[in-house]
Amino acid sequence: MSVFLAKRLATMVATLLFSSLVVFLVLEILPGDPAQVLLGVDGTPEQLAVLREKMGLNAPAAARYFSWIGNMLTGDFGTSYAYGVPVWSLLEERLALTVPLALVAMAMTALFGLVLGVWAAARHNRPGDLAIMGISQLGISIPNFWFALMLILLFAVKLGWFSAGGFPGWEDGVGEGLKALLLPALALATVQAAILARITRSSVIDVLQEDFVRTARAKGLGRRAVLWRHALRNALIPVITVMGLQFAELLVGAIVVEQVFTLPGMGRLVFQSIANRDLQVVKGIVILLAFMVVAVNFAVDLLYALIDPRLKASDV
Amino acid sequence: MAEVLLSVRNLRVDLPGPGGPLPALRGIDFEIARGGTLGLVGESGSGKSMTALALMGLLPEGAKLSGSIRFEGRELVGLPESALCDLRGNRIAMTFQEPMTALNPVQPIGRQVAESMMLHRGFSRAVAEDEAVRLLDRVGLPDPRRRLASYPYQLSGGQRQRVMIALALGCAPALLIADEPTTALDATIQGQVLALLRELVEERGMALLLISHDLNAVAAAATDVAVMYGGAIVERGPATSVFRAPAHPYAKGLIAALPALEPERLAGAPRARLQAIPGSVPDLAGFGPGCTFADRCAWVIGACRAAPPPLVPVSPGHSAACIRLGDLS
Amino acid sequence: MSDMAVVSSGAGFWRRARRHRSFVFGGILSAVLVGTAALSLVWTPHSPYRIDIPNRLKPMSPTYWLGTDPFGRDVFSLLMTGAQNSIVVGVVAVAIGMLLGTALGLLASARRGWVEELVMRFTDFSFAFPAILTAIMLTAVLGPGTVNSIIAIGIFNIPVFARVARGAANAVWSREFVLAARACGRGRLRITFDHVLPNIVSVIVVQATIRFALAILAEAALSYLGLGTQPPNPSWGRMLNEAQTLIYIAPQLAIFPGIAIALAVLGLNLLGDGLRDLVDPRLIRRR
Repeated sequence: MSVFLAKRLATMVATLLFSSLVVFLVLEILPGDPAQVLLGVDGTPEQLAVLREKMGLNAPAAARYFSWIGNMLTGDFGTSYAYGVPVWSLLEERLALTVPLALVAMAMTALFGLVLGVWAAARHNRPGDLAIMGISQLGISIPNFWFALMLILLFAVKLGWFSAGGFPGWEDGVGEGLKALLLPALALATVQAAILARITRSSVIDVLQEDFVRTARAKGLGRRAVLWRHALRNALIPVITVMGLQFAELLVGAIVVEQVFTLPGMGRLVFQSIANRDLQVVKGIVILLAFMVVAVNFAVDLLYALIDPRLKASDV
Repeated sequence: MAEVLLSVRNLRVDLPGPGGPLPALRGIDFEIARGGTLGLVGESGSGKSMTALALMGLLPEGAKLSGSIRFEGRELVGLPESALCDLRGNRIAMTFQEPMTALNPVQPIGRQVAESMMLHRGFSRAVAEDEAVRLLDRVGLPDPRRRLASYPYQLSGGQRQRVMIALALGCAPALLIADEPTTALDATIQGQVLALLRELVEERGMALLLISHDLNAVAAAATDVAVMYGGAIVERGPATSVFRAPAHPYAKGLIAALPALEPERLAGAPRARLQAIPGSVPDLAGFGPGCTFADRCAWVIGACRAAPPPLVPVSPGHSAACIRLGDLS
Repeated sequence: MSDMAVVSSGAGFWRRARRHRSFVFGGILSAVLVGTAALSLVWTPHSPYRIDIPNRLKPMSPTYWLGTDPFGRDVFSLLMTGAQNSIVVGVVAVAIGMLLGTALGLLASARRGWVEELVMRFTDFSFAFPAILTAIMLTAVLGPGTVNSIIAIGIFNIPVFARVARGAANAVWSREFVLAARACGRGRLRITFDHVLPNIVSVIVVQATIRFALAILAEAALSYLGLGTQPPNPSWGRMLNEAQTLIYIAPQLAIFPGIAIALAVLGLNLLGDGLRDLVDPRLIRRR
């Protein structure tokens, strides 16, 4: 197992380094001088030169890249040009919204996706199965930001149960904050739950055709007992990979859905920062998201090893 | 003769096919006495495994079952699923061909062996696992207590087959169905597993339905033999009689292809496969209304293709399904 | 997988296709999408560009089938013309990904060794990288607009097609007729074009159909964020963006463009699923 995980860890680091290089290069060609933006149109050329020196913009690109990477390793994401505060403090504040949003959405995805997928598989080719497959086909085809609008239309405009957007913060209690995240999370989760339900279903159907399922039936276990005690754990192995990828989708999909609900999360921050030419923040956000995506995939690999005993011993 | 444990009469299985139902079993009859061993021989696709699945009530979805299966005086055809669940793994148990895929890869074997005892005998996990240790020890798995926590991938093929057998023995079944118990194993291990099955039959008074395409295996362990071809039993009788004087052209061909019938030497003997007869088994849709073997038979005449030949006696307890028996001997 | 092309080229394809429910339904929806876009080139009920403030925010009526937007433009005409935009962005973005990706995949499969390793690591990397975020970054760098959103979406299709093409091509390379061609001394390039490419076309087409659907979704998202197609050119995502501020006054404006997107995507998804079933014999058994 340790060899397997070490390999994964190495891939993870390589991916992050490469991501950072791409992000750095892409933003390097971003037109517009951050010093100029910061100074405004009134600045004199002398002031601009001083500011550029202070911001470290005059150093060669390679030097700037390495100092950026080095600082990040110590937890220093640089200072926001626009706000003049450490990037990390901005990120921290926004993560407090985006991460819970993605987590709630992931919980909903797992709940609906797994339950419906298993339920459909147990009724393979019968009406319940066909209905779920039809609905999930629709779910996959809906743009999540439009579904978000429809949720606003129904629950905020027509029924008035929720507000159409905004976020009260966590200070007024966890309940209020969660309530504000409920609709956005539902909008995010619907599409992913539809995908997960389809994958879970086909995985369970595949496993139910395996020989060991027949052995379990030959012991006298009923269909339901075989499904829960024997088939499910095996069927989950491919499903977990997908769920890892989905968590990444949810984190990034939050960028769009946050716009719909005017939530002050990472998505809002990235748009503002791009508009402000606030490069340090943009770089920080992209790297942080890439890190989270890769970290989730690594966690999935760990989970694999727990579920599948064959992997545990594979390092001898 | 000993008391009849299992009596199968006119058992038919039809599988759903693209152009209508396909007959997988064409009305077969056989009996197994309490404590007896019936060897069911045939090529793959001949209906051996389908017979086993029909007895277990585990036919594939959409399959149609008719005829009669009487087991311990009880009719199994038409029995509700819950009653079948009570029998399965309890009075009738089965082992499967591929012990690698037939065991759950993500569960320790101790739990898999203990499960049927917990289900049918109401044992707690601890008691069932103690019993599992005894069974694993009996089937010859070394260091069984420690092995409870092993996963199937950590065992050899022979060990996995032993685990399968232990798993099936958990509730002391009256009938054990062993589907190709030796096929996936090395020659030396095959002999050991067959010897184990023979011992178990003897010491427990258990009946055994031994399904194999390996004539040596059947010759080594069976008291009676039934030869299947194309979903029908073409010949059946006491093992000694069938092996000494096969009557049906198919059985003749099979047994003539055997090098020598010395069960004692079986462990080292090369495996006799059922491929000595020209042609191959057609798929289910390819059979006409008559004798299923007609297309490969050297003695075929027009009448063979008209109607399925009935089983006719050739010697006491030994019969064959061929209308030309008189011309063959 | 290796027998795909053989099966799909059979005369039975259309006979089986006509009986395949999702293929037929998806095909009809896709045909309606393309037909609407084509029709909008020559005819729409009203001009989608004409601003007519007195007739703004009209409800549905025989004149304005789906009502009008805050500038008095006919929503139905906007939707019809918006189909053009979705199709153009989808087709070009998928074409970019398909051409470059398939070329990379074929290269990897033909050369194996370190070339294949490099291509595969590149695709691994891009799968670990948040796609929408990078599209946002790219359009931020290059500026918003149809062309740039096409590029952003197209780039993310390259690794997808590279993977699919390599997988399918590797299967073809191990088949007898390729081995025979190699034994005859044919070069790798020739074999790739004469034998490998024709045999993986069906796999690529299936993938392209599904990617087309995803490209329409991505374009809608970028346009909704204001990074895609710019006014006055009608686009479905943009219409949703504009509708959001009016959701309390004219909720119907937020409904129709979404339905248009969903139907287009549904049609292409079903068509793609159907094609895959019809072309891949392994999956047929399961239904």
